[in-house]
Amino acid sequence: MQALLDLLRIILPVSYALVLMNYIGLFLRDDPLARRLATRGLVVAVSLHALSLVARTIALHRHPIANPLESLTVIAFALAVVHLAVEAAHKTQGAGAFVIAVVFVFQLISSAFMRSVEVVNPILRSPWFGLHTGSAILGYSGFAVSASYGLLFLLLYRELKSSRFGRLYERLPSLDLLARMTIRAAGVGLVFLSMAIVVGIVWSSRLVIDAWHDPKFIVTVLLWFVYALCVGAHYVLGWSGRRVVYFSLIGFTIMIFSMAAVNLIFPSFHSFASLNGRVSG
Amino acid sequence: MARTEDLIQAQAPRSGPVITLIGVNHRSASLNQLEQAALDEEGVRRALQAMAEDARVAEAVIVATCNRTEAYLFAHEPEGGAARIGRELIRSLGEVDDGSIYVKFGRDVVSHLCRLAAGVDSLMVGEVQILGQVKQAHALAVEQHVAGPVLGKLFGTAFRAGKRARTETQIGQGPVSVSYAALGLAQKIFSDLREHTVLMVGAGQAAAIAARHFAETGVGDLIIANRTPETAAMLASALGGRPLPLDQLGEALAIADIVITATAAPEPIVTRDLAAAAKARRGNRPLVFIDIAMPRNVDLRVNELEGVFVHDMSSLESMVKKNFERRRREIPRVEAIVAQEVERHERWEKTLTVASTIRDLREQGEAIRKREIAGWQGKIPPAELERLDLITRAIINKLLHLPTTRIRRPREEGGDPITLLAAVRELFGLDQSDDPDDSRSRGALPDEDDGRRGQ
Repeated sequence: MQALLDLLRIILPVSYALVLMNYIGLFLRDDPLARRLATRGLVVAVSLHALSLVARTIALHRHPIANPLESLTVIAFALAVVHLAVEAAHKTQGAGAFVIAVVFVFQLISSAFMRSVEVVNPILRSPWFGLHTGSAILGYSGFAVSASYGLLFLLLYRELKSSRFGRLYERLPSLDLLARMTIRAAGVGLVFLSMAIVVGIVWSSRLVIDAWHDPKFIVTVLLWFVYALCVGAHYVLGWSGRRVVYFSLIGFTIMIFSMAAVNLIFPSFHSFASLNGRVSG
Repeated sequence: MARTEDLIQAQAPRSGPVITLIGVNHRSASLNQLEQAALDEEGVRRALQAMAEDARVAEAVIVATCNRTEAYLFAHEPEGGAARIGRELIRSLGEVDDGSIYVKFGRDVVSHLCRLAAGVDSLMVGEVQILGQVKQAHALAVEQHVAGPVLGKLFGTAFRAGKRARTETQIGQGPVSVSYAALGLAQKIFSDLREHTVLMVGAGQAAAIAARHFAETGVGDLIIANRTPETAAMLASALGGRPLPLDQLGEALAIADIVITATAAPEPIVTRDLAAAAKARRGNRPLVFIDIAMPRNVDLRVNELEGVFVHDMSSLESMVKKNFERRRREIPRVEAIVAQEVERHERWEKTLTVASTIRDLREQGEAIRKREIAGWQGKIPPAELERLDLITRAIINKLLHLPTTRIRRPREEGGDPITLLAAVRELFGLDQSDDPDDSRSRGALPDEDDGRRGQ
């Protein structure tokens, strides 16, 4: 099993790199071969990715989302799956070069730093933990999708305003679709993040942890507010276009900060090294 | 006169029937000459009828479009006889100079028709209509009973070349007319135009063309605003829209998502203030102005408004120009496809000999027989299997005896060897084994998809 995991750790970034090359070829030259290979290649890569997540779950006897690196690979997976769904629904491959680039980078980082099967604090085997991190990751994935399409929205918006009609104009899906994807993905992300927060609060109270002063918790609540504003402004106030997209991008920046910086800089029970001595129940 | 005759003399193969093309097009002839040779559908029908009655002509197809009149002939006359028949046809249409007429034989004809179907020969490089016209020309010949297996194969080859050019290269990509560019622009902002309202300001010819493209694509609502209400009402009823007096432009701007302006107004009729007021009423929904008027109908400063896009003639024309250049750059790739298809067609022509057709017939019979027998293997006793083998062999031999002897002596029966061989190959499906695609290209040509994309 370990051998399979090690193999997939190398294969995954390589296959995403190959898929990305096809999408870039398609974007730059509308290469007919790339057009045929890109989506099929992505299906293969995503299947391998699913296999790797399942294998990891079996090997570790737990859900495969215990640290930021594992989170990254799950977010990459979710991004790729969402992109495939959008491609199938709207018959447009143009956004692939951008979305799969993010997938590739996330998977590359995850693969490069992922250690082999490690000993994990027993608390992380709790079903509460699975529910908490699972919904958080789904939320983050939604935000990552939202930000990717949001960025494409801004690029196309600029192209349309300046009447340049370059490759972005030719290959990207319509502005309308990019905006809808940005908002919907943010909405889905918000629902899952809400779930993660609620589960986290309930769970931490059972563990007798003071969650309310935890930096990760505070940043996450801030994140929640930004996305609530983004989604709420759209559905309640009828905001659309660039303003909503900006909110999504701000939210995404906070999310990256919360994933990386908070774990590294601030002492918190969310960094699991310090968890051992503190859990009493 | 002498020039065409020289050409025929110099190029026509010395022996055997050959596919011949004779015609005039926008490159070979002046506009005046082209008009002389022009044929409408009824004219094509009459000409084909004449060909059908002419004993020298085995098969004929006439391709007549705005930019060309071409006769594709397959005749039993050696040494350019077919070309002379074609020349008679063209000269019978009007005062066409010999210098405007071109003649091609064999391989050159295959190549010419493939390039034509692929859109390389068109004034609008890569236009898709020509593919439909080529198909239509063949259908007319079938209708008049002058099409046959040889030209059927030729047109099938050309049609495949045309299809391949459009799917494998970018020869037909990107709008090359201003009104299609406008449609593409609107679709780049709204994914489904059926959910949106189009406002047409002006009812002149340019406006009508653009509005028609939108109406054909399908839009939620089409409003036509014009200074003269009668013209607006007329265009609206023709396109299934509704008319609106021009003085209600402000209200219309609050509803419409795509506004096409094409009036002769000397000053902009959509000012920044007017657009800003409409914008305030319509909330955050994007608004697109496509201004095809000269001078401008929409103040350029309208583009400064958030979520409002203004595109004028110069930006549409730059898009069209870019697409034309890209299409032209694709020509070498299309030529490569044409070369492949010509070669494929030649391979087929080489099978049109008595020996190879009989061989293919026998091989096919034997293959069918073996497949059927294999199904009985192990299910019946070996002795019976052996008997089955003998019986089926005898059936196949008897069945193929008459066709194989008749192919050998078509001349005596008064038939044409090539036509007969081609017919046998088609009847028995002898060209299918190496090429599953072929079934489409023989008798019936595949249906044309939407002819709009290329325009």
